[in-house]
Amino acid sequence: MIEISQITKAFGAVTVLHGISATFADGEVVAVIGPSGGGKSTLIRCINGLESISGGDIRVDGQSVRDRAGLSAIRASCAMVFQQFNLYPHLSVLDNICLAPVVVQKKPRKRVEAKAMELLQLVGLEDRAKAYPGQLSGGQQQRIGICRALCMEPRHLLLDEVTSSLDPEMTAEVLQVIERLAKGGTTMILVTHEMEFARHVAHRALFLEGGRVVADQPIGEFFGLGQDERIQRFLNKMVRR
Amino acid sequence: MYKYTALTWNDATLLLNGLVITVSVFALSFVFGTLIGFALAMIRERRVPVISQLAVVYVELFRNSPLLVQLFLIFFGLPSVLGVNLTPMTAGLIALSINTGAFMAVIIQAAIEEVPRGQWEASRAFGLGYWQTMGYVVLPQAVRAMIPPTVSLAVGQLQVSSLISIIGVTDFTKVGNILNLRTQAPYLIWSIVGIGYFVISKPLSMLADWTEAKLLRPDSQATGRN
Amino acid sequence: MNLFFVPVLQSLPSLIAGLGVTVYVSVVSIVLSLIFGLALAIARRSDIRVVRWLAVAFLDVFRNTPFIVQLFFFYFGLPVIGVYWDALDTGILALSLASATSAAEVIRAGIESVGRGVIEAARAYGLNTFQQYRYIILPIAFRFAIRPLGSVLVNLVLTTSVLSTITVNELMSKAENVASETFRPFEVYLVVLGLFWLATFAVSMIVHLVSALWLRRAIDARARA
Repeated sequence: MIEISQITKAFGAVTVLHGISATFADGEVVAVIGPSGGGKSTLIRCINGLESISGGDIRVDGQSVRDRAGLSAIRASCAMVFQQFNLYPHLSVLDNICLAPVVVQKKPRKRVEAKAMELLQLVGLEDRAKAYPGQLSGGQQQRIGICRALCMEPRHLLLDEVTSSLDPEMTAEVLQVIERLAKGGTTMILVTHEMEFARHVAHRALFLEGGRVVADQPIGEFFGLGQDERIQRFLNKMVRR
Repeated sequence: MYKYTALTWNDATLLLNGLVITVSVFALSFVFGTLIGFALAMIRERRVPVISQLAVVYVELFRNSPLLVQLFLIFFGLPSVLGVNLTPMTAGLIALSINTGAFMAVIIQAAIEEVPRGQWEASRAFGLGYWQTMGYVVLPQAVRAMIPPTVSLAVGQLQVSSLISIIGVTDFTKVGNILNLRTQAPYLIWSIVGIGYFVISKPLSMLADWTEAKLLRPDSQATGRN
Repeated sequence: MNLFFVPVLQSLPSLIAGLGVTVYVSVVSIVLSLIFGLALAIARRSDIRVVRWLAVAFLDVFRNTPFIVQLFFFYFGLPVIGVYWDALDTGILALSLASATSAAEVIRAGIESVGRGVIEAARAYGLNTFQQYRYIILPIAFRFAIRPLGSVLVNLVLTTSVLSTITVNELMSKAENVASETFRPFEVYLVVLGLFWLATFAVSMIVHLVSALWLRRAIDARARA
């Protein structure tokens, strides 16, 4: 369970998050939606400590994000997939996936490699295990990014606009993978612009604007009639894309 | 124990003279070197038969051998084969210029090659000749890319010019040697010399860093790259 | 102009002996300067202000003073404080320090070329600072740095010639001997010029080989910052 209590985040003089609170239960799939600059990415990056919070607290399975000593454990249980993929360019696909489980989680290499191959099969890229990121398309790289996250056997998955850098064709192949994951029972926090997808896959929606939570609703309600006008306008804009 | 003869105002004058000589030789040789490098780059670019190849040999040889050897070659070697007598200062100037020229040739050529081919094509389409294109179109654009490595090279050449002290030029380093011998106070003397060079070189280094930073900003019109 | 190379060629054994010393000094200094250069590059990026400041000061001093002055500083200065090293070791010390600062700049540039997102991914997955450097930052940085590092090492080999001023019997000092014995300075120094060129060519080749074999995998533009 991830509990976010009244967190604020400021970059110098600019406050990006104003007292955000939310709880993510285990197994929930939550879509974090909102206009650019609203704080969505910042929020998700505070959860695994990539950004430090200025005020408030975040507890991941009881462990506070403010406690530096426990940060490593939090990062091992919250695997992240990035908008820009951020695969390690000098390592093969297989090594990319295996690095953190072996070096950080200290799992035995053989076992990790086996699991990595399994994951690659799941996304249909097992024949590219020895290839290098530079040789792969964006969609393939992102699918590898997802494998890299899953190989950590994380309790929570943080997905930061993972299809925003992809063209429509590759977006579809990545969304397919995520859809399968969503059915699997891992907690997923999905920062996304893909409204249709969010509606289809998420249990809940969090709408962030100007660093504040404007709505926190079950997905049906969020996309249903009678929604707040501001949010409705945003959704209309998004769907027209 | 060692004898220590106090430094006098006369010594200060010696040091100052030495510093002036160092800076003068460096500045002159750098200017000459730039001209030599420019000529070499033009020869290479124009692909003049035979001379281009010679230019390549010259550049390769003088970039990849020690300045000290080049210095001795000029100061001791030239008199013996050409029968001319060279003062240490002249030999030092020549050797430094030749050395600088080899490095500048590469810098200038690289900068010219960075100017997009399209500029040459466009100029040709408008009827401009080779040298007109080079002079009005390519070189002005190449200058921007040339500046950071040139200033960087200057810093290096300033340091390396100290080697002329070995063939007897009374530059800043040589004065240091003289004073060190007399006072037997190496820490004092060499610190003074070091500080002297530092004071002259640091502004140049700062300029080098600044121009390098300025170049990394792609603020000129789009070239389709970046 | 009469050039007569025979006396030089007869003295070749003497020159080659000097070349041997040059090679020895070069190899030892290369190893030392790479190690120290790496340490300096990392210190330069340290979060601890004192460490970073010391590294910056060190780099600044060495960059803005001539090598020969640094050499004399150690050669004449060390005995005064009771450190009696022979000329060879003193030369290696000065050379290693000077090259280390050049290497540090190159390595630092390499480190800064590593894509920020890639380092972030390593952080996000729980790698501590040491692990980040070992598995991600340094391997990528070296791929960027290897070519300019080659330049630094070539420069090192060339600078060994300055050690002749403190009585180290390397190639340059042997050349001076041969020149005075044969009265053919031009030919001697020309040949020595060629020998140094060969030495640097060898270094460049080795760097090229290392870069091709070990770092075969091309890093595409997405790896850049």
